[in-house]
Amino acid sequence: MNDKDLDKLFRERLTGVEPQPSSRVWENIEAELDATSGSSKVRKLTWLKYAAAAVAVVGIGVALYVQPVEMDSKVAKIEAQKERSDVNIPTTSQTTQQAKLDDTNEQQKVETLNRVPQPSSKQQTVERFAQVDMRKEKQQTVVSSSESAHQSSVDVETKKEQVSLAKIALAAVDIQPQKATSTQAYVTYQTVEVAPIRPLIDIVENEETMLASGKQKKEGLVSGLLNKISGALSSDEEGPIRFSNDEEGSFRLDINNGYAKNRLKRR
Amino acid sequence: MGDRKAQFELYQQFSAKMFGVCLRYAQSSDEAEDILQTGFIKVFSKCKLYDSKGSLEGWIRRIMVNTAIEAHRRNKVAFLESLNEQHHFIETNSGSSDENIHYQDLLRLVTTLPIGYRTVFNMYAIEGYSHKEIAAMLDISEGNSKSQLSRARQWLKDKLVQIENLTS
Repeated sequence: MNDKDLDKLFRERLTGVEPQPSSRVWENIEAELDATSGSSKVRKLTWLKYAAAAVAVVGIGVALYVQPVEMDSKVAKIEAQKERSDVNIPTTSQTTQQAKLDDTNEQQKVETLNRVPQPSSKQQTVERFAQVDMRKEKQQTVVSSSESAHQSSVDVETKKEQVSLAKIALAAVDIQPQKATSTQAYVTYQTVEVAPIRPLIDIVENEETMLASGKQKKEGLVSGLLNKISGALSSDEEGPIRFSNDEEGSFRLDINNGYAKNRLKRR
Repeated sequence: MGDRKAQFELYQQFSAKMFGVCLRYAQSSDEAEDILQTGFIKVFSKCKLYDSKGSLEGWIRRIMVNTAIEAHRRNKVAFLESLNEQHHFIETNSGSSDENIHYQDLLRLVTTLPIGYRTVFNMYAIEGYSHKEIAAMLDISEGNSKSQLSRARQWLKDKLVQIENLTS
């Protein structure tokens, strides 16, 4: 037997048979593969945990940040209101006095100061007149703004007060039907409520800032949609998160009771 | 790595063939299974390195052979020729001539070869590696590979003659 025959014999006989390995070989392979892939799964999970923790921390941070800001703005608003009601009446009366009555003495000053409440009470009656037909606050603001526009003339022309007030009432009545036809299909003639007592004179600038920080939030297309979504998601009508656009059109996110809820959850 | 099902299919396709390879290199059936297991783990973890130029079977077979060599290395086996090794031939019960020698008998012959002889003979005669490749893979010289092959052949011839004499 030469070398080639020997090689051929072994090659053919040994490669011709394919013995089955025992099943535990595959089981061991599978276990080892699971072990290696399992470790990567664990790694992914821990990564996810860290990501979730980071998101939670950022969320709490935002909630804590937004809450005080809102509180601050409310406090500022209240303070502004106080300031205005305190300051506006004397200063405006003085300026009108200086403008019109250069040769006033102390008595006249007192007179004007005394007169100040008068138009306010009359204004209220006017407002009552104007509001007889009006239910919506929007319309109230329209009338009140028209009144405030006329108010300076009211203060100055004290003699023609009655007439001008009547005019205002007429003007308010004139405005009201226009609004009513545009916004309200039917008009009801009922007395509903007395408007809250207002300061005599509203400075336009202050009014604007008040509107910016006040409850009247402008809703854009996007923020309105988001509000509806948040309302639908939460049980109460006003969701915990409200969206609004401010005067400059930038986006604002209000989280109501966000901090309190977080604390409750922890307990 | 692909899913487990694909891995199992690959295993199913090649496990028997590769187990045959491992049995030739290993000392025992248990060792052969260990080599097979380690080899397939390598196949699954290195499958991205397969360049699909050669046959997949050839690639897997090469991994198995390498795994077997590594296993021997771990056991501190030198593939250098040692002339003083004692060879214990286990007598077979098969009463057959050359033509009828069974797989098991030939496998037993091969596995009783000294490990250096066995490895070189397997690689050259059965797997078809060149002496150059064998020398590189086993970290020995080409001459050493050649001499071990010729000694292995002589050893096997002697054993075959012994079997024939026993049976005849």
